[in-house]
Formats: sequence, C-alpha cells, structure tokens
Amino acid sequence: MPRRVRSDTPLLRSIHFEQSTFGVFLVIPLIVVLLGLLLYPMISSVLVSLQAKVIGSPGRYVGLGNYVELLTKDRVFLEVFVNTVIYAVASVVFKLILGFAAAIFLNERVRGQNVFRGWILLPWIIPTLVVGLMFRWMFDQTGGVLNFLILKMGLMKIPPAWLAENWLAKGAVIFANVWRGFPFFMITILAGLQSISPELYEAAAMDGARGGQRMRFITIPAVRSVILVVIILSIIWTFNDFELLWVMTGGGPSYSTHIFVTYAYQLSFEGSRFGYASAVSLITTPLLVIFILLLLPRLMRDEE
Amino acid sequence: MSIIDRRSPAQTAGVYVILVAFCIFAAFPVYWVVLTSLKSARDVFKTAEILIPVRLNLSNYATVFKQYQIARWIEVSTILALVSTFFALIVGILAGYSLTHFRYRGRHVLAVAIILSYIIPKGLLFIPLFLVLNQLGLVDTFLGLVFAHETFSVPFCTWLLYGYFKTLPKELVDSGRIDGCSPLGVLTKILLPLAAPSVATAAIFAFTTSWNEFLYAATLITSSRLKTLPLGIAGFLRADSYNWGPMMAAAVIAIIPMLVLFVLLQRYVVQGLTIGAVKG
Repeated sequence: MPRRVRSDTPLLRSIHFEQSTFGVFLVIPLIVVLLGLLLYPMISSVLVSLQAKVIGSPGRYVGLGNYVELLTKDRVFLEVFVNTVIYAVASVVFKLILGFAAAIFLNERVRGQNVFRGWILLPWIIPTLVVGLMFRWMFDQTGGVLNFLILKMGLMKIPPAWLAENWLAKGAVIFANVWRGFPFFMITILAGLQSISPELYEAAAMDGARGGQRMRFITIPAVRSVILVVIILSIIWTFNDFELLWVMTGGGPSYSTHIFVTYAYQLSFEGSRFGYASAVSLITTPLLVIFILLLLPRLMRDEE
Repeated sequence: MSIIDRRSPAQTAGVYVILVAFCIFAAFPVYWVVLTSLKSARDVFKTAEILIPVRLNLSNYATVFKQYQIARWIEVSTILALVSTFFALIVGILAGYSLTHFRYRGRHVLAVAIILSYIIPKGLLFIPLFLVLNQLGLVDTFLGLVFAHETFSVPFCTWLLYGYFKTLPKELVDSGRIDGCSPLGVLTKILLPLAAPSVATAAIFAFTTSWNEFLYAATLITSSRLKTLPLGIAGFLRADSYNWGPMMAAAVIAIIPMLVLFVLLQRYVVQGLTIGAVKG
C-alpha cells in the first residue's frame, strides 16, 4: 500500500498540523477509560494485595505478608493452583482436538457449509451462566439426562453423583468448558484453513503428496500461528473462568473445582479478605506476562 | 480445499456423518434446556419422556413472569447493554480514527495499550474494580455497572475499529479535507459509511458480552431493582429446592435474543470471532 504522500504544499502541511492536535483530542476518551478503569484499578490491586484489607476500613500494610501466607501456609491455595492447571490444560487440549477436527471437516466441500458452521457455533452464543446451569441440570444425580441414559442402557446399577465427587466434578466442569469453547477454536482454525491457497495443494498433489503429507507439510504449518494465538488466549481466559464453575459446583465438592478466580471471589466477597484475595488473583501475573509477550508480536505483526 | 483426494461416495457420506455428529453434540444441551422449560413441574423429573416431548405446557414461562421480576431483569440488561455498547462504540470510533489518521507522539504506545487492555482478564480486574467503584460510591448503581462493562467493551471495540481504520488509505482523508470537509466531517461523511460493517461487528460483540455478563453484576449489584438477567437467573439457585422448570424457562428467555442476533447477523459474528487470532 502506498505511504501517505508527504506533501510540502502549505495547505496540506497546515491540515496535518491541525489534524494532529485534533487527533489527540479524539483519543482522550480512550485514554480516560484506559487509565481510570483499567490501569488505576490494576495498580490499586497491587497495593491492596500488600494490605490486610476489609471493606469499610482503610487497609493496614503488611508488606508481602499475604503472598508469604499464600505460598507457605495456605493448603487450599496449592489445591486451587493444581486445579487451575488441570482445568486449563485439559480444557485447551480437548477444545483444540474437537475444534481442529470440526474445522477440517467443515473445510471439505460440503453443501450447507454455512448452516453447519452456524450450527456448530451454537454453544458459543449461549450465555456462560446458562451453560453452567444447563450442565448442572444435565449432570444432576436424580433428574439429569446423563444418569437417565446410564440407567436406561443398564451401564450401572447406581449412577454416580457427578458433581459431588472430586474427580467426577472436575471432569464435568472441563466437559462443560470444552463444549462451550471448542467452537471458537473451530472458527478461527477454519478461517486459517480457508486462507491457504488451493494452488499449494494442487502443486503438492502434482508432486505426489498424499493426504497425510499435505496435512503435515501444508495445512499444519499454515495454521500453526493461528492455533498458537488461540491456545494462548484460551489459556488466559480459562485461567480466569468464573461463571461456569461458580454456577455448576460453587467450587465444590470441598475445593476440588475451585480455581484462582472462584477462590479469590470466595475470599473477598464472602470472606471479606480483599487484600489476601488480591494476592491470590495477582499471583498468576508472571504467567500472564509471559503469555502476553508471546502474543503481542503476533497480534502486532502488521504494525509499522 | 479438500485435503482428501477425490472423495469416494463413502468418504463424502463420512464427512456428513461427522458434521452431523458435531451438530448434535453442539445442540443437544440446548435442546434439553428448551425441553425442560416446556415440562410441567410434575413432569420435570419424569425421565421416561426425557428425550421426546410428550405433554408440552407453558406454565414455567407464566411462572417466571408472574412470580419473578424477569421483566425488570430484561429491562435492566437491555438498557445496560445498549448504553455500554453505545459509549464503547463512540470511544472506539474516535480512537480508531485518531490512531490511524493522525500523527502525534505516543500513538504507538496507545496501540499496544489497547491490546493489553483487551487481554487483561476479568479475573484480575473484578476485585480492584469493585474497590475503586466502592470509593466512588458507585457500587450498586447503574452507572457503576456501565463503567464495569466499558472495561471489556471499549478495548474490544477500539481494537476492532482501529484494525479496520488502518486499512483505509490516507488519501481518502486528504482528498476529503481538500474538498472542504472538517476533520470530523471526514470521519462522519467518508470513513464511517465505509466502516459500517466493522462498526456492526463491534456493536454485536459489545452487546452480547454485556447481555451475558455475570461476574461484575454479582459483585456490584445487591438491590433487586438493578438485577441483570444473568444475575436474576443465578438467583434461582439460591432457593431451597431448585425449580428447574422455571429456571430453564428463564434461561431460554436469555438465549433467544442471542439466537436471533446470531441467525440474522452470522457474517458479522464470524468476522468478529476470527479478528483476534487470524490477523496477520
């Protein structure tokens, strides 16, 4: 694309000068939002995490006390940490497998491609809160459809209480999260697949490359970057999931489906320990920074 | 483009079978919610007719409107989503225009800040946002909710529109200026008509995200007159025994506007979904 003509005619120069002042004026609302609603809260979050803070009274600085307690004394935190990693990794793996498979098959020449695509996107448009309720009801021990089918098919005499046993509950929330999230993987991977030039495949076919080889040497390299971005975004979002878990299990049984955010919510809004809860949610920041550093160059690639 | 060599009829059938299987997987839970919402209180736990509806009745929908304030929740959610989307669009359009068609120091920093603000997760923000809004006396107010929603609407709208404005040639602006348009006139008369599809995409995303939002509502709102639809629906869980029928009816009511938006505007939704990951 041609660069802007750098004209030295007085008219254009004056336009550009006037414009730059006006441009700053136009961006002020954005700056206000970024500083007031994002930067300021994040900074105050760091400060609050250094305090023993209860709502209604000023906090008392305790240095790194909250972090020390978190890492050395809080047994629940360790469990929450492990849960979060399991939840995020398992969810992303299954979302990737399902999303990739759906994208590959949608990318075949099929009739009604748009209908299939829209239909498979359905989970993504359901409000997360509703997804949580939906699966809570489906996994319900007595009225749930899952246990009905298990009984009907005679798989078990006494079907399990899915959301009341540690590992079953973990599996159930991961299942719900995968159901909700795989369409996002599908749609982005599909967009990546559709950007591959057909000539590449034709050339490969002429050279005698078989389906599997074309998948390995053309398809996967072409969508690798897209997949990486989706995986990182998904991990960030899954690490910070709240609605689904809160509605499906409330973090239980005991703490088996608590992750950072639900635990921080419980500590702050139910236990009124705002300083400690801030430390819990901030402890993931180093990881977040790594992910952001991985993401930024990919998202900014077309920047000057 | 197919990765399979010329497909045999069996392979073609296989592709369709797998796609249909995906469709069933995607739709079954939703079907199940709708079905539950149409069962009477006596039938909800009658699992024998679980898969195929036998007696349908609308009593759950009547219950939801009579015994719960769902009309009010819908009103709050609709106004909230409209207001926060409107402001996010204005901020995003002005900033997108400014960052791409004007030269001043710091605009590259702002471009990075937009992406960072888009990535910053709610899980990091909800506690400090509550504390800040609490200091300002905005907890449990409509304005406080709008502020909270701008934290995700503004970054998304700005990023999307910034990306679009960047593709518009600067000559458009220069020629408009020479023809006598003011800088604002260039935006409203020349650029915005071109950007309409992107503005639509941004609007749909901001609106749906607001409509579905739960965490901020749960932390900021306590009075019943300000309950959003998701917050109201979550309230069904607090009752002594869960009323699955009415709860699922309320869930269906929350789904319907999203479904309508999606069916009518699928093209824009798909565009918005892929914008983050496929760019570049």
